[in-house]
Amino acid sequence: MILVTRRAEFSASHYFRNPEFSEEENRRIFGKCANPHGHGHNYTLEVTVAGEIDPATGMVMDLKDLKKVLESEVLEAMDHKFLNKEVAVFSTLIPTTENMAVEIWRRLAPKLRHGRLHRIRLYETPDLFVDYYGEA
Amino acid sequence: MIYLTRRYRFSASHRLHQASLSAEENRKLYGKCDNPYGHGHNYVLEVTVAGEIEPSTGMVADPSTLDRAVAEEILEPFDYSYLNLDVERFRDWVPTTENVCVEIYRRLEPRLGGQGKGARLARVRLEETNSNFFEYAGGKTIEPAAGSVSCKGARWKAPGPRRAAATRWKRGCASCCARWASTRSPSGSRRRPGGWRNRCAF
Repeated sequence: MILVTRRAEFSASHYFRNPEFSEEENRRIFGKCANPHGHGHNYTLEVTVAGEIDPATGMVMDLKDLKKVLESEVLEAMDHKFLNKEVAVFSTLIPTTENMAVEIWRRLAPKLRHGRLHRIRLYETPDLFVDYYGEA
Repeated sequence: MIYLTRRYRFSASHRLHQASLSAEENRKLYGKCDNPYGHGHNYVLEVTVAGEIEPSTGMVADPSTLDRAVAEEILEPFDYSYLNLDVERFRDWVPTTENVCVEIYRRLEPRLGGQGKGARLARVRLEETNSNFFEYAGGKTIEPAAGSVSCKGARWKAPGPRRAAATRWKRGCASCCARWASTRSPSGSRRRPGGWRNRCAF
């Protein structure tokens, strides 16, 4: 068993608001993040895959494949986007770093042909990140 | 379960020295860190809480609650202090970064026990310098085990003749092979549950 991690960066904007909360509650709970015009971050995503080394190639998986999947499933959808408005799932789900990590897991897990997704780590800033290991 | 980590910084000095040891023993054990005047570090602290995402907020824990707990319990007493003298606990307990890490966990655990829906302190990671850091999770394992790899579709596309399949099986996946090797059928022979033709049963 060995873990392989690939890092990718993307930039996006979002805001945190629950339409069931009053304006005051949104401000109290989410603070500055409730600004309805949104605000942005440079996200750093780390995708970790667990697997066995294939003796024939010496690799767990072809990292080019992982890069392609990352680009098609995550970066194309989220890079330079206003998450609340442009990523369908976040029109009803608050795009917190927690929810984004789970959503990225959902997008990537079925696309991996070799090995298995072990961890999604998403940095919102260098000082705040979320780890998700799937439902188990 | 989701894990949220936040990073904090504090600067403090300490001296690694135990009164129960001779001057020579201290010097031998702790080297430069035994300097009687103490010396300092810029510590980087990572605090991880774990829990389920609260659907109404999309958050596992309120970062401002976390910030407040860390500021009150750790940053205020530790930042710009001489740990050996200014923090009561370290007057008779050597403030190695290991011990500081454990002390931080002990201080934060009661403050971070019941945020959101049961979010709790999961891990403390303390960097003393860029080259060394320590992690403590209250004696528990820090990261979920990577588990066994699913063999789905990996290497057994066509179930061939028995011997060939067995060879592929043995070559294919070390974790499955290890489990297979420890599995015995009722007749006592070693065989994979489900027979040779099936894919990995685990």
